Amino acid sequence: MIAPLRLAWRLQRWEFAFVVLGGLGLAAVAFWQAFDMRSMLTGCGTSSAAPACEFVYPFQTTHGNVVGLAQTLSGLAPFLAGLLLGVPIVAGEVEHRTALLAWPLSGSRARWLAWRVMPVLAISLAVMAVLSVAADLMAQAYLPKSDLGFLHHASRGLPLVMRAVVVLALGVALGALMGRVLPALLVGIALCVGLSVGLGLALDQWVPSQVMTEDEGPEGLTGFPAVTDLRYRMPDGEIIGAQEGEIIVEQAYAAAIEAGQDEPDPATLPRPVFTGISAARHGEVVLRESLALGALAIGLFGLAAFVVRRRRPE
Amino acid sequence: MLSSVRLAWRMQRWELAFLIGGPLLLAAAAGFVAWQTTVTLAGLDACYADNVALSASCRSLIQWGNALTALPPILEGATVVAPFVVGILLGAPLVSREIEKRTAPLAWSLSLSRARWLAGRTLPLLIAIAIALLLLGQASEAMIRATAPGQIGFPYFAMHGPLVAARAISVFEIGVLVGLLMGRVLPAILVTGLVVAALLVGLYVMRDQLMRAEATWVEASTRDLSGVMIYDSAFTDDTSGELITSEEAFSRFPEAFGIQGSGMPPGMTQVYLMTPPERYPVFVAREIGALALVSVLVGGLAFWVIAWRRPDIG
Repeated sequence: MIAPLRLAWRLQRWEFAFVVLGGLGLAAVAFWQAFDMRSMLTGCGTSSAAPACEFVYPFQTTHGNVVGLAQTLSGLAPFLAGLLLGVPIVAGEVEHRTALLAWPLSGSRARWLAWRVMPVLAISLAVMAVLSVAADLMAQAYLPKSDLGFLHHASRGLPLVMRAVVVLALGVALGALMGRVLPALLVGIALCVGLSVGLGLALDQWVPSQVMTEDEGPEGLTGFPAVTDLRYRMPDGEIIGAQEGEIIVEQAYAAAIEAGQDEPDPATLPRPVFTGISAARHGEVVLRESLALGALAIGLFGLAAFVVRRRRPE
Repeated sequence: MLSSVRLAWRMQRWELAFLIGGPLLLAAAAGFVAWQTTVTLAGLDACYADNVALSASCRSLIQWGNALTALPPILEGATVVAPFVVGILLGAPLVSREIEKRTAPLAWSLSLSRARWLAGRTLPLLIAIAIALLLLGQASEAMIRATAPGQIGFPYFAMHGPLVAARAISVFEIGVLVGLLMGRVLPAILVTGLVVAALLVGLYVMRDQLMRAEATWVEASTRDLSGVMIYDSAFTDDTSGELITSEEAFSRFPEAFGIQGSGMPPGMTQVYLMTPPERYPVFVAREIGALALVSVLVGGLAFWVIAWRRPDIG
């Protein structure tokens, strides 16, 4: 394993340095933020309690900007790392015409590809795993009283790692198909946008949606479910549409204020009925999505191996 | 010149098709949205002018109008990102690829001078970038004018007009210089990205400081607030003209800010600390000036570097 790792470092040292330093740097920021926010809550309930102890979203003003930026970068990291490390593996060799020598010298092209991909995959997995844990801890520390559920689904935990693996496989396959680094990178960026949008749209399709209880819904403030539909239940039990329900609630509040009350009688108001996937079922979604992404990655690596075996090396 | 254009196309047809064609497509899409929004709004005015039930064609026009409203945010976002993607991906590989593929030793020695060679390689691309991004900036401006009521001001900064092209040209120049210094395509793209991010943060901080320094207190009710950048709000005493902060007003007049209050303390006028949209062209001109200076300096440095750089070191 050391020999292919050394070869990968020699051939892609800039890309490795960027991904490893960038990924671990981002993870360090996330760990530090998580530690900082947790330590602020340790004094809660004592005379030296921090102001954060009083709020549902305790760190919005103190840590919000840094956490938001780190979460955005964590969401981009798997795509950036996958493309930067994956695309040049075959495309770089073909473009520089070194494949002409490397492929005949190795026992088989598939073995050559495996030797080139393995260390890159290992490094990418290691960095993304550290980042995913750090991002998860940071997200949980930012909202200490909530079940995170679907919040920042793609930028923390296993989904982040699986995206990196799929994009790496996509980069390798594109590089093998196109044989040029920059065009493969451009097409890879476009496909990553498509992949990201597609996975976002598919998020609430992995398990069937159900009508949620009031605690499971987004109004409970304790969890972040994936909501697929909103309706309202009238006091007499009739179910009405979201728009109609919101108009009735607005009118009730306006009438109450006109009558000199702070708010209308809750018993007269329609209650929201959320359909979707509760935060507690997020693990099930992650498992299914990860299995699908794993299968997609294997398919893309297989495609890359097939192309490398068949294509001309120049 | 024609041979330079032909050479640029032969060497970078993928990148040019993607990176010049992309902004032109975006420009066409923005122009289409601007045109269709104007036509649809005129049609809707006619629909609502008749005080009768909406016809089937009016209802389909409403649906079309709703569908159109989803596009401007996407196109505005793409217009902000486009100069960076185009500049980095066309600029950084321009010379670094020649060095990496070892064609630079032959190309540089065959041309009359290295400076002329560099000018011949950069000029056609600069012209193509300027034309494509100027068209994109103008189309985006037409779209924003058609879709957003009121003045175009600071909320739409860098989403329209000549600033889009100025940013792309500067980023391209930086990419050329970094590629020339590094001599490898992918590392040059990464480093250019980092340098441009630093430049962008610097410009943002400078602009923000200038805007805050030039902001003035203006009576809230006297003007249209579209396109305005508001930094703070306060109240002035109508008799003494004394400025009191919002926090002070909340504590002095709690009844005015209660649920039944008007939100306006008696004998007070609300004022905003704001940079009005009339100042917007000045800030755009300043940023274009700063970017032009960066372009000239970086371009000059590139000509100096190519005169002494070895053509074969990666």
